[in-house]
Amino acid sequence: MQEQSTLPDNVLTGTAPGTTRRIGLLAIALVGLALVLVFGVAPRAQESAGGEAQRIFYFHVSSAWLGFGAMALCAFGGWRYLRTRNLGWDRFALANAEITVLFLALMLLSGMLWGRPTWNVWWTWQEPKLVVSALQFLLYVAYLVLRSAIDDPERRARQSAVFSLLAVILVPFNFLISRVIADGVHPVVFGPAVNVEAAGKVGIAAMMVPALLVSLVAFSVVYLFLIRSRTALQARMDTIEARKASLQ
Amino acid sequence: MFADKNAPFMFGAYAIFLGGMLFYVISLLTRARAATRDEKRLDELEAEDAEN
Repeated sequence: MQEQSTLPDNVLTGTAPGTTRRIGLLAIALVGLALVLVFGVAPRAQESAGGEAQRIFYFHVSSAWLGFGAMALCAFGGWRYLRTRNLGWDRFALANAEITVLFLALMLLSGMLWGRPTWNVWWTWQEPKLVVSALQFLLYVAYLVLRSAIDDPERRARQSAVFSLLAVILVPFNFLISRVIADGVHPVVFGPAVNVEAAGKVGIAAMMVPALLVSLVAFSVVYLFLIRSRTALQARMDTIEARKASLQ
Repeated sequence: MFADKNAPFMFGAYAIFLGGMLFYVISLLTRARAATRDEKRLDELEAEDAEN
């Protein structure tokens, strides 16, 4: 089969270095602005929500947004690969899997640092949302390990695509779980929840909204920078492998 | 802010956020430099191959 590997040249899947550099500079500026809002504008939370530790919320939620978004786009890349057999989509899926691992790790670690002062424990296996999040992190580590164990690019792309389509099922499960169980401790900030106590634990005051929105936008732009950089790098690495193979 | 007993948790978390992202960007730069080195070496090998 002849390899097709180009992707549409848009802000998500394009790889032009000049555009990527400009997106990177915008990401740095937005992360800086988000930090100013988090530390300078957002109010200090009440003691039950962690006091100053509650400021972890802004980047913790943004990390989750980015990690789960990258999971969905990893599955989208896998699905597009299965439909088109274009290895460019496989590279896109790989880049998303790496970004997922990074931002789920940031989400889990920051959650532990917020949990210690508010729940008095770093981690609890009694909270299903934490367990599912840890499972998702391990699944995407396994995805990367699986890829490294398969040499044939098309077989690797095919199996990885199926893996990513199965793994993404946990995303809505993770979102819903703290909303449908009655005895969870993880706060529910957006939307209704069965557990009234969890739903009311961390509310969004008007003064918190700018910091949260700018953090979410900043992380989205960080994502664009990382996905474009990683996809472009993988295209170069694949070309190098093909050149090495043709020399042997 | 600094006097709050929970401030170390907050600063620790932001150090992890920014450090984690920086670490990944550095890993991308390192891999890009390795790719550039490989490309140069392959250019040389392909030139040698063409001469022979």
